[in-house]
Amino acid sequence: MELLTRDKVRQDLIELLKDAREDWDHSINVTDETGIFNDLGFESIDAVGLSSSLEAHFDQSLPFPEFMTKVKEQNLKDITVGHLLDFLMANLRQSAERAAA
Amino acid sequence: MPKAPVNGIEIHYQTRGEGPDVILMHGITSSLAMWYNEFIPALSKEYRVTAYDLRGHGLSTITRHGYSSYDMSRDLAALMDYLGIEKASFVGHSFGGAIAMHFALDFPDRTTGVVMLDSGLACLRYLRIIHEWVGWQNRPADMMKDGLTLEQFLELDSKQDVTDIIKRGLSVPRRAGFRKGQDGMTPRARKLVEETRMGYEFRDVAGMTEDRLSSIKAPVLALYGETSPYKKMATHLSQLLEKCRHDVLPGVGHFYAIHRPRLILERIQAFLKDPEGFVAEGRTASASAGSEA
Repeated sequence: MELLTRDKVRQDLIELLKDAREDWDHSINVTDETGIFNDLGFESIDAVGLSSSLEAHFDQSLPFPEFMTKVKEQNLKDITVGHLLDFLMANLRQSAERAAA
Repeated sequence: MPKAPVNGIEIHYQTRGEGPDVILMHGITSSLAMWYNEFIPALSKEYRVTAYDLRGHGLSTITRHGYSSYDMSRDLAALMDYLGIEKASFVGHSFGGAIAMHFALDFPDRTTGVVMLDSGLACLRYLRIIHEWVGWQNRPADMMKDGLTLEQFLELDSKQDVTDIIKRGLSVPRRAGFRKGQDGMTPRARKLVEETRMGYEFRDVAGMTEDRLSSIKAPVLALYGETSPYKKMATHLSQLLEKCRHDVLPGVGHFYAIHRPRLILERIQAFLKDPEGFVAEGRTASASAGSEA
């Protein structure tokens, strides 16, 4: 089983972000600080679509609505790639730990 | 992402939780994302919650026609067939509530209850108080930019086709959320308003006349905003329908379900738990209050 390192998850996440936007701007250099709404032009519904893609890609259900609720409560100006990575690493790791237990 | 191939289109939906079925329906130019952060996490603890993008909206297929409450209620029936949902409760914001009512009218055996969140019904349009429209009240400067006066607005609004008004509404910068300051005229929204007959068809009575509405037997919870142009529909519906509990929410307009979901979540949960009982209890309370007055 392939180890889900942060770098590997980042790489997969960026590919899924590209798939979620038909009009992806290939000149954008995506970093952990890139905001999905203001920099990548996501609409709320794209974030919902992304959640389905993430679940399919990593083959597990993810508490994405709860993540969105938490983010809203924090009054963040945007959700960055870094936020998404933190969320994924926390939940994917938890799953891996549960599977190993 | 999950899409149901029904009625010649693909309907994007999201399902979470286990239990009795609850289906969430957004309004014109919105998407299922409106339910995503608050309603889905809260309701999916007790119910199997399905939210979907209406035809032409979100990630569902855009077609030129098919936007009346009749057409959309058939999309809903086909989606339920596809998902194996025999019967459900419905929560609809704005036009989503009109679709739910059309469904309740034509598919009574498949309707447990309906929650209408500030839904304008085409057959009751005569009850609207358009000068109290929150968009007009709160954003006159935006609407006046190109010289539109209230009189001109009312003239545009009196037509069956309100595409122009929808365009103006979408061009107003958003006041909250991650896209604050940006307008709502996204490429998807532009395609919907410019390439379809949605702005005309959603205003069609489409067979849901006031006479027929009164035959709906399902319990209905009607929650309307105090500064919404539709608020008179709340009291009217509670008189017209056999089982309807209504409330006018102080200090909010048409979009409270999007901006202040926690204002209504508990009430919706109480209704969903026992629709018949919740409505009966409300009607008894109103009757007692009336007799004491």
